[in-house]
Amino acid sequence: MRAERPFFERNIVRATVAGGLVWVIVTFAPAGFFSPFRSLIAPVAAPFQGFVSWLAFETGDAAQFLSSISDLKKENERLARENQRLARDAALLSEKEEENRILRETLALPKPVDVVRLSAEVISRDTQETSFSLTLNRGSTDGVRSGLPVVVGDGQIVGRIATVNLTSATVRLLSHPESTVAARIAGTSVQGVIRGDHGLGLVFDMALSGERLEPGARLITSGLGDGLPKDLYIGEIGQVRPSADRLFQQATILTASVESDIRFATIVITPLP
Amino acid sequence: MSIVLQHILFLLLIVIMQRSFFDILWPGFDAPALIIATTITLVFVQGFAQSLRWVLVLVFFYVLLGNGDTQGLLPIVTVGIAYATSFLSRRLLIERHMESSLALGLVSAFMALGYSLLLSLWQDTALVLSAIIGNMVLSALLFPCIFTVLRIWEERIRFSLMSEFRGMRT
Repeated sequence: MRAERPFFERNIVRATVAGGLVWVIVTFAPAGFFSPFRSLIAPVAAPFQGFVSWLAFETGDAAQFLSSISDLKKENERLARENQRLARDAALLSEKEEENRILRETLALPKPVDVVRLSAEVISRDTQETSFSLTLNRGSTDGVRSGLPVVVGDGQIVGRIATVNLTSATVRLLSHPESTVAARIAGTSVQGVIRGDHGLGLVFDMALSGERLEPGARLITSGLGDGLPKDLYIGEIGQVRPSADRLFQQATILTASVESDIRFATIVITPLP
Repeated sequence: MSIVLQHILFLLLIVIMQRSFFDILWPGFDAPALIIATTITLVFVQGFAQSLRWVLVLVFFYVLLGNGDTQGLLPIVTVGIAYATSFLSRRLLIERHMESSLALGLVSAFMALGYSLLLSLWQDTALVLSAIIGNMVLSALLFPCIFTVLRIWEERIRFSLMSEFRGMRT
């Protein structure tokens, strides 16, 4: 006959106690409980994460290249057309910029605040949340602080710095359910709020029901109240629909970048208020 | 280097690989395949009681290298996986390593499936079939790799300990 193990040496008891204990710590720990441990581990892990993430991106790029050889001709034609359109836009914008400068001087308006742009590389990604978050290889030693906007490409905002370690920082992407950004439609006074749509994308919300939301209109940050600089490009208006209570309008947002493809990003370091 | 430090470095490396390699390469995969495969391997090689502390260290590192948000599901699931592996490995033919490894590879794949389903219920998000299948395949493929590495490493530790013991006797 097999001897019964003592109660606390049974695997099921050990598993329940250990699982419960860790769950309680992870779920109910006060904010910042893990910060001392994280500040110890993150700087040690960051250089290795940099190398491993580089390896992952290169592997992904190689696989993508091999699978997309047949589409290269079409892609090349599309990019040539896109290039022509962008060159035309750039010419128009430089004219507008000059006009803007002259008008500002005439009206004696204050000059726009200078910002520092700090390029960074993605060293890890979190797929466990409702939406993705990223870790960048820049930290407090580079002047990064929480709340700063993070942009990709020519200035499309993708998120904000959430936590900062010594040599790394995590970015909460705009698609996070708790992320909100004050926004307006470029060239109009239509204002609203951008928020995450349960990790599925972005929604332009709280636009007054009488306002005109045109699909394709460009959305930019309004710089009102949330500490972000104004005029950062967000995306374009997609499908428009009324809110559940019919008081406001909502619209899906089409963005040029795919969050899961972000490899390099720029942190916009604004002067301290 | 002490055995404890070797374990800690090994687990940290596993978490770095999961966060910075697999999560970047396949961002649509919800279940951390490498973490699941490592948990199963640890329990299979070291036994439940011995491996539980290392499984908890693994979860702790995984939480620390995340974005700081609460991740309540992973600790419960990982300990659950450890217990399920211990429960199954006692019923598998331990002397037939090949069959046992294959069976545990399958277990690893189904644990990834279970994790994805639980996460979907927990966060109320939609499931993507192709991502789930990919995740299962990745878990099943990673298990033999981790198993081989950990097995060789354990053998080396055992051998060095026996050498020390012999040295003490002479």
